[in-house]
Amino acid sequence: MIMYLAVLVVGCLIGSKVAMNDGHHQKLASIQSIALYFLLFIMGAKVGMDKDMLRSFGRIGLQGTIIALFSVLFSILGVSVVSKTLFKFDRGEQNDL
Amino acid sequence: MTFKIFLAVALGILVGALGLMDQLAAHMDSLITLGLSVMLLLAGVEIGRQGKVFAQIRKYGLSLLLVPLSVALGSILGAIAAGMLFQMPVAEAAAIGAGFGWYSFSAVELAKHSAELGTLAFITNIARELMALVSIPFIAKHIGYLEAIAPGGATTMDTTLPLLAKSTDGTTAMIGFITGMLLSLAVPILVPMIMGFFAG
Repeated sequence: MIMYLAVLVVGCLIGSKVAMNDGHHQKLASIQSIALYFLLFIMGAKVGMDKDMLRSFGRIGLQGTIIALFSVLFSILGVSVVSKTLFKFDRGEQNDL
Repeated sequence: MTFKIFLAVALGILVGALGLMDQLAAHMDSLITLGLSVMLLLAGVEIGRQGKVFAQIRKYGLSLLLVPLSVALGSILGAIAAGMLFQMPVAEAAAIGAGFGWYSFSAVELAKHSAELGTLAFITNIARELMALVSIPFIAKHIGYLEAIAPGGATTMDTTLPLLAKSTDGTTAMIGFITGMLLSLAVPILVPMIMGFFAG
């Protein structure tokens, strides 16, 4: 956790101190896209390599998926209620990296 | 973007299941850490570029805590509601929901009670992370930026943060990181507490 926080803070410092033009921004966006798909692929592969997980998935996979789905939907609902009542959020420009 | 994300994850699962990456098995966690670090560094650069992020975070103050709080409550209540469909004990369903997507911890902790509960916690929380990866861009575009934080739960401080940063703005990414960090801190407290509270 500490390492990820440190990496994020270093990134923030670089972003706030180093002036970047659109060309740099485009390059960073491409690197980020490649890193994202690589990461997703590796995370998927890790799940796929776990044979115990794959075996038990058939049996309790549906149950787990439905619990996850309800958790996600209720969380979205919770944040939605809070953001429309108690928490006034100012939406900024999409990063569109 | 959602389709490409789905494709990358599905391709990974297939390649992993077919044993094509078995020789890399020992290095999977290092590869994930490496990929995550690159992503987080770039997400940080993007947040830093938008100078007003920290001013906005300061402006929100303690009301920021409402976001992790509503994600936590929603996750637990949602899991209890789903558990009712399967006639699960409330404590078990609530404890699985309180994993907030952190599958390794919740699975290990709940496996102490039964192997099946541990496996269910693992699958539920992995499914949550996969759902978050696939749904974040869609939610950001069609429902709202703040709502896009919700599906990731504890994972918005690492695995799903880069995607959140890519799909929303710097302030949302920062709120997402704070939310993920607080939820991650809550998991090791909440999961045993819920099991203990209902068992006792």
